[in-house]
Amino acid sequence: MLHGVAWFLSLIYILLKGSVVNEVAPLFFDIDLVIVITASLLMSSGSAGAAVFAFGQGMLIDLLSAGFLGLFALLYVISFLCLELGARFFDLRSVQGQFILVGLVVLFKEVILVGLLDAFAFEVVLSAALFFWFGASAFFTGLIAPLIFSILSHVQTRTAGETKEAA
Amino acid sequence: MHPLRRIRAYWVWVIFVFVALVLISFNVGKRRSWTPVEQVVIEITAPLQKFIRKSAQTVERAWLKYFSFVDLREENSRLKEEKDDLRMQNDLYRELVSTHARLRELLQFKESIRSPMVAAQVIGRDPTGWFESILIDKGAQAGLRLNMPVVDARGVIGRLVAVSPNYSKVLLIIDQNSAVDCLVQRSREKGILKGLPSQFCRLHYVSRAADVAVGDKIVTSGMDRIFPKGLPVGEVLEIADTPWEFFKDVRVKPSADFSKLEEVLVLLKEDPLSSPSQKTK
Repeated sequence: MLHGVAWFLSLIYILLKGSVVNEVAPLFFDIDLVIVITASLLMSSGSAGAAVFAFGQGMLIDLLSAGFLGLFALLYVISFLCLELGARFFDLRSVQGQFILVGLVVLFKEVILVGLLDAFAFEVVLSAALFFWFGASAFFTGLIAPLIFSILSHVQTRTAGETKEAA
Repeated sequence: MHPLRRIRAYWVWVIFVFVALVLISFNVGKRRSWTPVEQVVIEITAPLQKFIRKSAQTVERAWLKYFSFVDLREENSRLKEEKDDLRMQNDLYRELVSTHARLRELLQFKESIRSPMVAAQVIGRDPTGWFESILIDKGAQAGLRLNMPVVDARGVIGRLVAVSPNYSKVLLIIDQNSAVDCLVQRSREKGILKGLPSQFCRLHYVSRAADVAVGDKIVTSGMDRIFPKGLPVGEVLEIADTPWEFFKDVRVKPSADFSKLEEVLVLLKEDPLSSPSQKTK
């Protein structure tokens, strides 16, 4: 159930980004729900489910995008590892930990993305504005993280309650 | 954490990184259509995307309508009802007129080009923001194949890079991975048009001796065998002639407005880049 909600939420957000969000949001401003949900799954249901989720969502973005197949899958798997390692230093159960770790991973993901695009001869203009938007993306994704964590944790608690009742 | 779980977590990571790297290695620099499994994913997700886009448009219209109503609060109810009614009719009429104008332009363009074509609606854009592509609501069942050119009434939009039974992905000419063989209409100078990080393009390989001026129209040359000759592509916006460079830096403003794409036309011509064995299939 938790994974179903997580996959559905992320899918809707990716489709929304392709339909609405990218048309109204500034270029390079990216609230990354995939990383937030990956972090939440990592905390609540362990590594394997979170890794599959990160890879699957990355693949879906690759399918819908004109980039190289596997690019975003790789990025999100790297982000997953960063979350896994970062969770040793930041407590993902606290609001501060969620904000800091998710923000840092989003920032790291954006930097890695620019590096990969540059490696594939993709012209990226490195400007102060670009890094400002990366910072803004990290900050706002970090801000939204506790909310998503609490929604998914609520779903998990409810599912666990229903399972107990059924048993 | 239990050591066994830690080992498993790393193995999961290593496997996924390996798979992603293999995918990138096999696909970088190549354009291939969706595989059957990917097509299934697209066939499931694209209707959802279509629904989301339609819903967003409805919400946007309602929102705009709400703002247009704020100033009328003081009016008496009868006049307000009449006004609202007329306004709604007017909105509907305007929408119809604008749709009619767009479709008439498309039709005129369609008539000016002899090759058969299929009209399609744009249902989504690239979700990453880094690449420039759109998803359209026509696929192989409507006769669409890889590398077919996509245009609108103003000019070239892009080409099909992935096709499923009911949906297709179009790589726009403003994407950095796109390349279109072009001509300067006035002087017949040649160049390759590629996308830039902004919504503009650059005409590559235009020699310093070439006769190009700001405002010159750029059209397709037909040499890439994907786009028919003479389709409008854009207009020269800026030229930089640096003494130590081999080529001029020619910036082009595309004819099409990529921020307002709603309907496009796909020219039904055979994929010139497919091998003869693929063509016979």
